[in-house]
Amino acid sequence: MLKDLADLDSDLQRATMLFDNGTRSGFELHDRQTVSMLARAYCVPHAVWERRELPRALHLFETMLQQPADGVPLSHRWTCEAVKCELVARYGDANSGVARACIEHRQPHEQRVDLNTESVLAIADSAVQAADAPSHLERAVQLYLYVAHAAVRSGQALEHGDLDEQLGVYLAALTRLFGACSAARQLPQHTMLLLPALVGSTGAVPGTSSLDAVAHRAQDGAASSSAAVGGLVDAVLGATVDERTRLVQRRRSALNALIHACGRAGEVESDCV
Amino acid sequence: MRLIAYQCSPRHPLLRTGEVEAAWHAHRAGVTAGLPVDKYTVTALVAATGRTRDRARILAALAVGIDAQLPVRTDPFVMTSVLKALMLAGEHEAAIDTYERALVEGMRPTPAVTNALSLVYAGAGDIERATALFETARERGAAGGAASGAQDNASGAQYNASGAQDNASGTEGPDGVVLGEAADSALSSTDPSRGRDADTAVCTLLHACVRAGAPSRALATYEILAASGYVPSGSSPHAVLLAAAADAAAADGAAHYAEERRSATLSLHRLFDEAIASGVPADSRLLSALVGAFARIGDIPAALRAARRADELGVRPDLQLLRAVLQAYLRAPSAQRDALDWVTCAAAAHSISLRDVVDLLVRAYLGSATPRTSASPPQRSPLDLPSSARTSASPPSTPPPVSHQPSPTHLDAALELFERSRRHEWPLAEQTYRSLLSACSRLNRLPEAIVLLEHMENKGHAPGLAALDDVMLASHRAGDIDDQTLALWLAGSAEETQLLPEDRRGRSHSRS
Repeated sequence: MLKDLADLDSDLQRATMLFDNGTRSGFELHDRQTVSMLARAYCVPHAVWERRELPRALHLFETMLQQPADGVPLSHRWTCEAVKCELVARYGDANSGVARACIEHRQPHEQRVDLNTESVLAIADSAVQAADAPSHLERAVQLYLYVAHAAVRSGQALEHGDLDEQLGVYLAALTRLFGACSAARQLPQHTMLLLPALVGSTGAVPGTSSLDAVAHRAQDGAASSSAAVGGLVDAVLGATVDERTRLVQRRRSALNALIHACGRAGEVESDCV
Repeated sequence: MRLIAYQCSPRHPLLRTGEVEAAWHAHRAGVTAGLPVDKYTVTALVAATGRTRDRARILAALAVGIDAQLPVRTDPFVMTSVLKALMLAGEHEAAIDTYERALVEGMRPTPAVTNALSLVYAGAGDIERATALFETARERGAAGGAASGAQDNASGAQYNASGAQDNASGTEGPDGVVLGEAADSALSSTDPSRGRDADTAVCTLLHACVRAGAPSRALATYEILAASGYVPSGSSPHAVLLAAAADAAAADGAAHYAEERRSATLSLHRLFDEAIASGVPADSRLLSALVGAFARIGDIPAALRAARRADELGVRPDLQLLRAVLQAYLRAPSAQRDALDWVTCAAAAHSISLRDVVDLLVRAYLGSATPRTSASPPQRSPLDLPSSARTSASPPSTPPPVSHQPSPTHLDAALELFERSRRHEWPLAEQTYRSLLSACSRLNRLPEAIVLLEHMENKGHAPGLAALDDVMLASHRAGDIDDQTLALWLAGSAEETQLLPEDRRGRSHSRS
């Protein structure tokens, strides 16, 4: 068993080396599938390398966002760079991996370079687990915001996944995040921006919140965009009362955790001056 | 004039107005979205609102549950939070009143509620009722207590499942102890877990005495318990006793008179040695309590000597001990500087991450246990301002207290720790950054001060007027700003320190 783990670790390191060398040599390796796969491999929960590779996984996410972290409103970091276009940037040069444009404004040679929802959630969860560094919580908040507003599920997950289940996973992840915030007595800067997605006031469902996202499902593996939209409607309308109740409870739990985190934020030891 | 360009990074408006408001905003968003309120919502709101120390707001948080027609008034889980919040707010009468109304309405108190109430009584100075509560619970016996304890644990477990573990465990905390069962086991059982429960119950009672301002009563109570056959299973009761003994000695003047202090030091040594001789395990908790007790009576050298006994006693230093040493040191920073070396060496030798004590350590190196706050008058340098500027600046008439100034070596050590904390993203309190900023400025280390300012900006910390005054004075000494600019700055600073706290809030951001 241990040997298997060590083998997996060395496989991952070999994969990383190949990716780095390939990128340096000019191969287009920053496509959506490759980077998503790599990010998920880095962030396998409880793996011995999870903590070690977290910076690499975070770097993959940062690379995808075209805008620098400082001085730019958060949502602008993943918006298409075309003037007045507010769609999410998903296309770019697979050499650099920067998501520059939406489907309408992409160049012919550009391809999908955005990470899929599953990998972004995996990175966020690893960041929460490593919450002893305050910036990791801040990063986790940004990742969850990205999931709420921009991420799209992978084609495979779209076919086999259940919408309510996915939302449940998202809410449970948020609850863990707020639990970590409570423990660290810290409320990262953009935490409250998660509120609409959390309470569902915008009807936001991770990966399905914007029309852009729905439209791109077709590109992402679903048979057609109308089929994707139909699938969503079916999933929402078809949810049983029990399922809806469960979702409401999950939202409530996550919200309670957020309220508690607010109460703990900024607490210092009583001896602190 | 690099400072003029300095601006604090904007924080989220909700955070600027306070985390408590953020909690209520989140709650209202949930209500608007149609999410039903449950008792954990009420508990979280009560805990968050408790930080305001405002009875009306705490009760308003409770009213959220009442409006939602939840039986929060009779729910022990919620009631424990309410009692604690009111107790922290100093509203002991309101807490007792709330408890009595809950009883009338049918609440069946659990041990957690009883313990919270015991502390409320103690806080109100009613040590008789606190002790009576303990005795009643003891007489009630194991059965009822165990049942209600199980009920409380169940509710806690449900909350844990929702992911916010800290709330349940943090609110209930050590109060999940079964007082009656504890007292029984204290006298009869040899079951280790029951022994621990007994220790916790005894600690609660002793704490209650200390909180009530009757530390001598804690010592007397313990003697009665010991005479009844109570044998502690761990070191926690003696840790409280050491604190109680120190409090009693301090009240007798040990903190001010050398003779009293010598006598108290001997008593504390004796209490500690007797505990060890009677089989109480010498561990970090006990040693930390001894260090804290010596610090309480002002015998800092004895506190630091006690810490150094760790090796001799076979105690492995841990964060608790390091924290106790630093807190003792901060009471008299000029006492024994080598204590800081001991802390860093002990941390290195025992692989203790300095993350959790870095804040205390930086403050210790700066030697500023009580740095000036922005509300206190800014410290002036002996600068000879032009007379017109001096008139307009009208500095405060009373001379400000002179803060302890670190040596360059210690400032270097503090700056090195700051670098480490920045590298590893260890948290430092805003006030610590301010102290560091002031120290750099007073020792004319402007480049480091600028780095600090930029770092504070990135972290969303406000430097505060007092520290900025120091930076401006240093900039003036370095020739970066002229007399007139400095005079204008100090005048504005003096004017601003006259503002009400609520007016000042938020303005220190825009001023710079």
